[in-house]
Amino acid sequence: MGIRVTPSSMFDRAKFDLAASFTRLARVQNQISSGKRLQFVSDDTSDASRALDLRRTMLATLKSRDAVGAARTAADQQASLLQDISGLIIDARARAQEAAKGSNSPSDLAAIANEIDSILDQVLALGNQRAEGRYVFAGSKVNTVPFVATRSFGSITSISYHGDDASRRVRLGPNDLKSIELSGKEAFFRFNREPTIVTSNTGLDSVLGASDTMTGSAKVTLAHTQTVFGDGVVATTGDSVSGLKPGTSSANDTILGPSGEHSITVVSSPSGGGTLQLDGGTAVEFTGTETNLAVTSVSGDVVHVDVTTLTAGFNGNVALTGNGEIALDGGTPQALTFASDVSLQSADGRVVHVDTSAVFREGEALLTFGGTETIFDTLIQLRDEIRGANGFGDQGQVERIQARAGALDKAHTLLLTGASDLGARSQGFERLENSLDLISLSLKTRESELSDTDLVEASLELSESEAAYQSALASAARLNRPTLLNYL
Amino acid sequence: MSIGSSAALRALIASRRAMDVIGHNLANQNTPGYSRQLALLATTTPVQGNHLLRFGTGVEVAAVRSSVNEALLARIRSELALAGRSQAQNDMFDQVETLFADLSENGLATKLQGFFDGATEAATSPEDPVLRQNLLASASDLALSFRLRSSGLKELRTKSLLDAQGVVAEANQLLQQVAGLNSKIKTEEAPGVTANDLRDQRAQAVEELAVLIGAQSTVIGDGTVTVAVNGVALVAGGAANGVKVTLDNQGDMKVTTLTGKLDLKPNAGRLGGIIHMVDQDLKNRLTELDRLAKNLVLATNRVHAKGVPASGPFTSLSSSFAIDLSQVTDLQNTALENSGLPFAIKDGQLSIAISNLASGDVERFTIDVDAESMSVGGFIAALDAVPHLSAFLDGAGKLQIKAATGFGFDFSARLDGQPVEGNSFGASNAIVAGESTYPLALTAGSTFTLTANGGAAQTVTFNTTDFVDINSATADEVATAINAQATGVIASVIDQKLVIQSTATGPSSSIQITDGTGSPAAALQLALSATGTSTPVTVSVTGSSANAAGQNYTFKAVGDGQIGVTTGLGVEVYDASGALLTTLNVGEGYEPGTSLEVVEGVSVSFSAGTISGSAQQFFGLEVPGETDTSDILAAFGLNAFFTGDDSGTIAINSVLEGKPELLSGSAGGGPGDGENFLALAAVGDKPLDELDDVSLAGFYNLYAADLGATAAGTKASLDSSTLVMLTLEQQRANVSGVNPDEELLDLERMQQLYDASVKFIQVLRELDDTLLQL
Repeated sequence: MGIRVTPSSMFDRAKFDLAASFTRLARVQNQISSGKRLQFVSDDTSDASRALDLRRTMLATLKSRDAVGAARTAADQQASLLQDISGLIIDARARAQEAAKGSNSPSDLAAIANEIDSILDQVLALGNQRAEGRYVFAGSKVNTVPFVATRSFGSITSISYHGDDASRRVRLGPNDLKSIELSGKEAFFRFNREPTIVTSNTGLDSVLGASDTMTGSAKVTLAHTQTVFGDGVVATTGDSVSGLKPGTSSANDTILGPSGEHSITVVSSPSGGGTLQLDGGTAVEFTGTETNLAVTSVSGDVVHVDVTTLTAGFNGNVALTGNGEIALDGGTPQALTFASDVSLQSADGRVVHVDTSAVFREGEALLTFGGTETIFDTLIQLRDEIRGANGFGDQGQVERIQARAGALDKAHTLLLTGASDLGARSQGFERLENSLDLISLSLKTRESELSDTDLVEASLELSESEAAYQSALASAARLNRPTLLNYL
Repeated sequence: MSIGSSAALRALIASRRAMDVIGHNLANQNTPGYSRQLALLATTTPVQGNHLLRFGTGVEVAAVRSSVNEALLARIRSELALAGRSQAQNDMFDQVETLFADLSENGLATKLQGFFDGATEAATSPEDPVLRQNLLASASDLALSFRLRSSGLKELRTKSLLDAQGVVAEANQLLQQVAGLNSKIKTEEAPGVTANDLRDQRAQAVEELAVLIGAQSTVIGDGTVTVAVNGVALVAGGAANGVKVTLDNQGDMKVTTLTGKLDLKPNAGRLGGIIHMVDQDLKNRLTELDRLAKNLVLATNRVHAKGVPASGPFTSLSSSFAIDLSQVTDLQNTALENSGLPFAIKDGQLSIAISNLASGDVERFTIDVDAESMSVGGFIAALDAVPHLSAFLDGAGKLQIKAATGFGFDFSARLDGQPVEGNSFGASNAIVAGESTYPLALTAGSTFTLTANGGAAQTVTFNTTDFVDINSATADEVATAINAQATGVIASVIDQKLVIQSTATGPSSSIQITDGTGSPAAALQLALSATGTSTPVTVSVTGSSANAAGQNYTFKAVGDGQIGVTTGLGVEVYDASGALLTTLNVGEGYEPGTSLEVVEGVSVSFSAGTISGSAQQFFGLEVPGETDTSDILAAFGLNAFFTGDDSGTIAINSVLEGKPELLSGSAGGGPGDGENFLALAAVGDKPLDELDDVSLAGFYNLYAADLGATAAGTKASLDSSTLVMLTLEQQRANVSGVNPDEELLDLERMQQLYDASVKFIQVLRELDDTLLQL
């Protein structure tokens, strides 16, 4: 018996085929209209799972890119501020140079000092700048004003840091974190100690290679306490050979130094008169009755001499010893030993080593600890130096201003280092941003390949499906074929 | 009547009967379940003539038979049962996939990632309330997504019961119908005929039962069929046993006979599909979703609990989860592991940082947690015993922790920025410390003399009464004995070491010890002399270190003198095993305040001042590691991010709602510190033990993939069944279907038979007429 085919089975088959064609057509149409090849994971589990994973990675990448973008903005903000401050420091440097000319009147210097003061305020304002509600240089204490000024009569006398050392980090991916910015401490207080510089005309010097621990700058005061003539055996300090002894104003002598550092040349006549010269300076005449004869050297040092006991007819050089004391920043003075390495200690336990072996005159010395001074301190001290309010006398002001100007150079370098560091970070972030952009684009493309509709392919499939559906319809329409009845 | 006439008459009748059958076929060619019938023609019984001649008597319709292939029908019923199951599952998977919408922007994977990305973003500006609020919003959105899916799955299960009940109601009608048809068929076929149409109707009903409940049938000798599901007869002869669907205690569906005695456990047909989905697939999916949500809560809370809010350490904290006081009535005798809290508590340690809010000093206390032997009450008492803390369970069973005025607490791993405790290092008081480890043996009656601050010498005697066992003296006992006998000094135990400090400060403060009988000072390895200073030293520690997490270090002064001044002054750093790690130069050349790295990421600095190695000055530094290895913070929901413990209850902690500043994004306490947000962001990618070393994100990807694969499998199974059914139906149509052409040809043939018979009768009549005309 052959295969029997009944109209019912043909209709059923046609119904099935029509439904299948229509389903396919509807699916393709839906893919085109929605733009999505995959509506549900079950449409293609493998591709859908990969698409899900890709999308998750893409979202995370996009967020990382945003975070990196924010990090770049933050680094740029800090770099920009440091650049601005750097510009102010250049201005301050120019003002310092002007002040160091030595030909300025007091009013000129006051004007320059006021300009420095204004720059200091501007630097402080920039250091306390806020961006997006946070203090830019406060570390993690973003709600705390990082630099707090102490003022006296409106002028800043010191600035303290109230932020912390923390630096924000950005998440670039699993287990991949990167620091974004500098804390205020790093930006303004970054130390890179350099050899100690002594600015003074006293003969004081630094000790090369010593482990100084003081920071910023310090003032050393060298004070004369006693002049010893020759062997100093007469009345404690008088010379037994020449008979010279300290004058009544000997306390005002300015010389310092071990025996022989200074000397007085005596030319006397047997009758009692004569001349005295200090270190080859101008000869001062005496009659023999002077108890307080001031003798000045070429360099301006002064010794007061009592010639009443001068050995008549004595001619020759009398060695002088200038005893004195040395004190750090107004601290307790200690006796000068003229040693080549004297350790001076500040009240907070910091140490500086100085060479006193060549000290020859009393006076003040500015010790600058390069690379350890904050930008604020440098500006404050420069201003005060120009104002003459730094505790130093007038002598050596120009040199000290120049020394402060040198410190400004260091500050400028520090700022540029910070800005450069931030710039490098910013560039790194930018490269990373671009890279993450590319990665996310690649992920998006891949995810799109998996889940989005390929319109060309889908259009072709739509055409095919339409043709198939039309054929199925045409075929079904012909099912009502003639039967035997038509011919009976 | 002649034989011929009779034969012609029979032929007329037979052809008419056959044409009736053809007409019946034509009429029912589109009737569902109808099987083509055939009139079987057969010769009638011949008659005996003369001379042994036998004459045929014509034709008759011997039977009307249906064209049925019983084996094919059985196969169809089996396939229908499978198709019914696949259809039900497919319908439900469509709904589940729509519910989860994994490939859309509202998919759970996207929401999950959105939450962790929110933490990444918040870390970029931790102080930004907008970013914090965004994180809360994404967390809330994620929790809502979980809850929607959970309720959707539960609703599907509920609706499925209604579906199942509808299926069962329909099936019960069909069972009655089959039983009724059985009776009719039995009656009608009693005379020996076949009730074709009734059998067709019955077969149709049985097929529908196969689709609905996966029923199979067996034909019995009397023409009836038995209908059964998994061996449980639902129709036997003319009797039908209906079925019902109920839910058991577990919420699982149970299908029994109406009497409830027989459990059908259907695994085919729509009912089988629904039950499989409800009792296994949907249930398992809900269970796994709950597992994911629970571990999201756990992993997130583990991290969040150890952070510090923007507002700084807590002054009070209430747990999110409560002890059920109606169940746990004896707190002192209920082990932590039986506390009924939603998350398991493990054996481990909890480290608590107590902050002096004014000075910022942090003191760290550790509680050993033993889930089995420590009671709930014991844990609360241990918390309560932490200095400056009070802890209690409130009436609702929630753990309340409060700090004393001026103090705060948190569970972060931040370092103690000022690690020196009890003036043991660089203090203005004179101190002498002992190096011994305890317990140690002291001689009963041993003495030393102690002179404090230039006063009179005092004798300290160690008697047996001062100790539980003088051969095993503890540091605390030694300190107590000294304090009881000496004035001007205070003995205490710091980091397991004995420290005796003068009550006076400054250079006039001094301690002199002279060992006496039994040499107890030597046994205690006490320093014998110390003088106070006017320049105390402040020690500061900064940083954090994953490398040194969980390590303890001891710092000991080496040499006597001034920080930054005295040549050779140093501080030795020992690890917990007593091994010397490094010696820090704090003498000449050290700039006071300069940070010195101890281990990677951890630095210590010393202010100017005086320290003494001869007095054995020391301090300890703990670099906290994991501050809660017991999970007790997560179990109680202390400083929790999420509450709830499954997909239906997960929600953000109500305390955080509208208060983004309470998010613990900081690891160290600074408002701009986003380290804990970064840690939160990493939670999604971190493999979890509880998820078999799979991350939360990975787990959900597997979950979604499994749902898709299962749904695709069901769809494929349905497509396959549909194709098979199409083939089988065509085979049935080939056997049982009505072909009008065939029928018309048969009709023609029967008509010809009829015509021939009529002609034959005419011929016989003409013969008769001719004969009569003779």
